[in-house]
Amino acid sequence: MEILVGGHLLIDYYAHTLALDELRKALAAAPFTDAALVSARNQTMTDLSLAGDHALLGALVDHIFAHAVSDGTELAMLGHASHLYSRGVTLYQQLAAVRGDFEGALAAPANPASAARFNSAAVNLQVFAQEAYAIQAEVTKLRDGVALLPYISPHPRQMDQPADSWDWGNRLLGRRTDAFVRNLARLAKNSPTRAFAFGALSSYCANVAGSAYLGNVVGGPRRSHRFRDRVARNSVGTWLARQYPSLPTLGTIAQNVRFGTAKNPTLPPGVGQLLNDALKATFDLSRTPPPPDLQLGYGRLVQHLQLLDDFVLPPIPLAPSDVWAAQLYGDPASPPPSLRVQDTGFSGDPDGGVTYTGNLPGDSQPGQSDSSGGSTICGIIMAILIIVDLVQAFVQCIVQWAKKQTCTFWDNMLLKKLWEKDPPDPRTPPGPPEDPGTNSAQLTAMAASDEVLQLIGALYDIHGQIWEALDRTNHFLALHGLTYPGYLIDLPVYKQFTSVPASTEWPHRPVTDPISSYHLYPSSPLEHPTAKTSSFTASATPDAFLTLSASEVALPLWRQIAYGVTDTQNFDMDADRDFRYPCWADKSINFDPVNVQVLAYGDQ
Amino acid sequence: MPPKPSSPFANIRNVPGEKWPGDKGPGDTRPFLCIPYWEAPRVPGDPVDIGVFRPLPGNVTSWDCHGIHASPYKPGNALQVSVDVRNSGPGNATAVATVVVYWANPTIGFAKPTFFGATSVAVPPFRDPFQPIFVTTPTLTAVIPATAPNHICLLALVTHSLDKAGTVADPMGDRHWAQRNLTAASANAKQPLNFPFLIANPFATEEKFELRIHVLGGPALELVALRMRAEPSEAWPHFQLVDERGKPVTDWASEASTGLALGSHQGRKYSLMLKVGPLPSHQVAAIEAVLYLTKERQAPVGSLGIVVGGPDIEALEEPLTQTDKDVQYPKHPKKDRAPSATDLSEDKTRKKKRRATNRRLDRHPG
Repeated sequence: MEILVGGHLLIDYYAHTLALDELRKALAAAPFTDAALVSARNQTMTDLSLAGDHALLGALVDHIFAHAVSDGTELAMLGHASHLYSRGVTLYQQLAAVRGDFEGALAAPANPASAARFNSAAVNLQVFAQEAYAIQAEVTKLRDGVALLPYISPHPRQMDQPADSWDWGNRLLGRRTDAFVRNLARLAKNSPTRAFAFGALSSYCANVAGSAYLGNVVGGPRRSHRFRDRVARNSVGTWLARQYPSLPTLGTIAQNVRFGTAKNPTLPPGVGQLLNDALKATFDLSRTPPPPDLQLGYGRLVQHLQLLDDFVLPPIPLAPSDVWAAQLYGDPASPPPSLRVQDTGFSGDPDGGVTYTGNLPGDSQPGQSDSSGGSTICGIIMAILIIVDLVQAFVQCIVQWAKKQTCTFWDNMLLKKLWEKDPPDPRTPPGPPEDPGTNSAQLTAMAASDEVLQLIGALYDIHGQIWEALDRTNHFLALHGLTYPGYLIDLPVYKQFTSVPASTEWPHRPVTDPISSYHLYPSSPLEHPTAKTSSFTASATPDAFLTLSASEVALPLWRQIAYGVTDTQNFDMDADRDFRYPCWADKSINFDPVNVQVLAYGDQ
Repeated sequence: MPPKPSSPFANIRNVPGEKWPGDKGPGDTRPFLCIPYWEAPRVPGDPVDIGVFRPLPGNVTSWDCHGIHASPYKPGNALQVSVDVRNSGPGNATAVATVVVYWANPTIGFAKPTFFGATSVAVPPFRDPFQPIFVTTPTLTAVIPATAPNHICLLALVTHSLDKAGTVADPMGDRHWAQRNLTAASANAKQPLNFPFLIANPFATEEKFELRIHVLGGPALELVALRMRAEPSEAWPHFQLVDERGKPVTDWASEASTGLALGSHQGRKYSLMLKVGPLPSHQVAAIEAVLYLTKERQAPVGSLGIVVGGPDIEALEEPLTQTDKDVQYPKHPKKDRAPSATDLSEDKTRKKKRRATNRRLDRHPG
């Protein structure tokens, strides 16, 4: 069976960046008196001062490997999403300009410049409809591609694959973890590589503590709940970014870890050599697949960071200007009609509004509205169809309006006969733009008509729908683990991952239909043996693991490395059964209880 | 699975005739908008106003919505208004809602309010009813004509194409609508105060109504006083309702009612004659008039509040409620800047003039 490979990420970019900073501060503040430790600390601080960006890159070493072993599906989808989102924002901005021109020209029809402004806006509106129509197929393709989360592949342990066949992304997280960090430190010979090795130490410890936090809030480890784990990881990162405003943005992190030329980011050769040497020193490579292309992984890492920074919402649409707003809303008994289809849900998602007779308030706990299926982006397509229909009716009616005549296309459109021959079928591609050639007298005649008022109201309505579609896209991508939730972090579906639930046993076994239910805490049976105790109190927030990482793992390990002492364990970076769970093997993950065998330090 | 906390708010799900979505079935992602009448729990453990309690509970002052903020009002001057909005819908999508503000002469039941301004506002869903989180619109500014009375009512609505406001201005029964309706006056021990107002039929059909007027007391008066940074008075005003021609409709009393019928969107003028003993400084008393629709089980249709203050009432300012911890509220320029010498001079002049004439104050819309 061919398996797509990807999605091996543990702690996210923000958490790694913050953990490194916290470790640096903890090391600086440690009350060392032993001369050897003080000297080693001075060396580390000098290295970090000279090569802080190498340290940051080291903190992301797990991501370099994850990208290196990936088949590139996730990055390709994210790139596609970013491109489409950018086009959507451009369309949104174009409509803002069209609205401004229509409202301005029609508010002053006698102005000599108004007719030309109106005609230009009419052409631009048609161009806008064409571009909106052209984007439909790509939106559908993206939606269908993302909806099944194919870029987050199953863990080989969960498929009972022998460890020797594991890809390098998973191997580095579950085998000889402590040894790899020690070898990096031992083999680093200058400030950049020593700084990188220090970052890798931070990365390891942050994963050991951070994954334990994730296991608590997810209800199990990454291998059992990979979709839920992914959303949790991004939610934790977003929470930390908000809590620590001094954290750099992902775009800044991308710049900081970018080496090589402007066009071709290149993994620093010394770092590449260090990684390969450390792999050889840590593992018997004759028993493993060949090490991955780390340059490829590094290039993808930089690109990934840059793409994640692209999803910015534009300002919301302004209400129509006062002269039009007063006409549209002056009589509350006669509000402007909406072209929005009422029997589909918010932003047009199917089934969103058909079941209930009236709007209802939501629940503070995640529910069906938070599921993958309830968070699609059909609304964009629906908005596009409405736009196309509106514009086609507008083009057909403009001549009649100029003659002060009624237009059946327009009237029928307002009656929601969207799919009938009259008005035009929005599924038909819009024709080439036509200049209506409206003159000043015609514009004056048109300006006072009810239909023009409706047009202005409809364009405002659609403008709002496009903004909502962009917002919806952000949620869709975040819920499917492609992007961070960002400003959406307070929504229950994300917020659930930023507070440890009340005392409960975990890990839970995988659920039977993860795509339909990963937004919910798993209700599947427990996997035995369960986590004995939790390292986190109820309601603990993500920053709780930062302290554990620095004080309980990183500083003791750094101290041992400085002293040349080796009596630590290899901790599983997936923390399958809570904090500082050692690397382990089993006969079959499906046994109950799982036959856990803690690995000796040299076992791989 | 960690148990879901038992929520004392769970009972609000039992909306008659409607089905709670839960975790099964299709997701409902539409907004659930409201302009909040109370932005902090009324009692400990109580949710904030998310719009489920409509008609408004009896202990909520229906003409004093806390979600409508206004600068001091003076006919002919610019008035600044902002409105708080909450979306408690079940989905995850931010709604681009439209907020429209109207004003009207003192009216009970709004037939044809006058357009003041409209704005858009992005309202993300806040699904925890115990979190006092609201979004405030940008500030709307317009000039109320100099010919307008010293007392006006502000009406605001919030609407969205998937959660539309009703077409009847119904602040008491429709969560999309809200009213800020405050009249302040200095008490005059010698002569009754005279408050003209309009009773209007907001419906397109002829209807019968009952108007009930009473002196406000207890917690409701405390809340009104708190909003004005004043203390509730123990004085018990007496009033008499008179019709357009000055003919008494009720006796002098502290509680009265009368019935009337009005045609479609028709109005009728009345006046309230009011006697209040001299009030101590910084104390207020209030009278509330509520219009009920006779046929629909006495459903409230509209209300009006008249607040009477002591001699120093003019120094009282409307506190701009800002209960939200996370959402940035727009600044109110007149509140944020330090008073200029001109302001202080005008204030003193106005104060003297008012003390001398004991005329009604004009600082607050209502």
